[in-house]
Amino acid sequence: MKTKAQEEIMGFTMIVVIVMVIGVIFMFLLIPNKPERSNLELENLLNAWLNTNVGEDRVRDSISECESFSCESLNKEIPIIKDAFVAKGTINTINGWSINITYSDKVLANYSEGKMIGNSKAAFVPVSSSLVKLKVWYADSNN
Amino acid sequence: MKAQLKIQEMAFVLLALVLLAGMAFIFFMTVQKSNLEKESENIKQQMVISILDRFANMQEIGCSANAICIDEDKAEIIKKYQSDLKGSFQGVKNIEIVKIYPSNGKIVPYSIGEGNQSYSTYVNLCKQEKLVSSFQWDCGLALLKVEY
Repeated sequence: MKTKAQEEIMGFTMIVVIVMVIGVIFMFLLIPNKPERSNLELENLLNAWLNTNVGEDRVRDSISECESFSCESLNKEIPIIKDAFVAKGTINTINGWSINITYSDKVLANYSEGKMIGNSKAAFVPVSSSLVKLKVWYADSNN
Repeated sequence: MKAQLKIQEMAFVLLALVLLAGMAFIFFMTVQKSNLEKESENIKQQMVISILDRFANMQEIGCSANAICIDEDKAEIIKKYQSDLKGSFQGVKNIEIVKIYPSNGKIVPYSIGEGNQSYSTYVNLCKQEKLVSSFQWDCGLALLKVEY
């Protein structure tokens, strides 16, 4: 009799534990996925980079040139972003970064450095008919 | 007696279940709390950057080349007359512009002591160049550091 009661209790407990685990999972699933928002700091960096003069032209002019002609000058201008990370000291706190420039379905430039792991922040800026996306992966979980 | 024992057992089981549910809820709330803290830190950072953006747009230092840019000539003039400008930038102790591209170096247009908090954002550092019949902005990349 006692064993049967214990079995019943054990069975009941197991059911409740399973229901609870499912409940916790359900609670996490209920939280809506946050859409990727453009980070203001990276957006400022992108805008400043796009308006920087390299010789006679600005970087945004190189993107327009890349859309229709050659991407040679644009590819030379991408490393300026790394200089910006170095100047701020961000380079020590990030795992990696990438820049992606797309024009319609065509990829004009896709450059990445380091490891794409950890928390990430991104910024998107439209230029001419292209979209420039800068993404940074941080080593520190507070970022 | 047997019934009492059964009730007691059931009570303990229920108590254990309530405790377990409480623990699961605490776990959920802890995860949520850390997410919220991260989010609030992000929002604070974004607010600070938007303050810096407004600062870079001030007529005294900003330029008209694009949205967030600093006029290098204005920065040099502020540097010259910084003793007259003491207290003009509310609460600001230091303004530093670190050049990133095309040249290195920095301009310290305003410095009246050491601040407690330092914030920075990327800006364009622009200079007007005279062409034959017009002017053209020549912009570089810089880091604007403000200490409060």
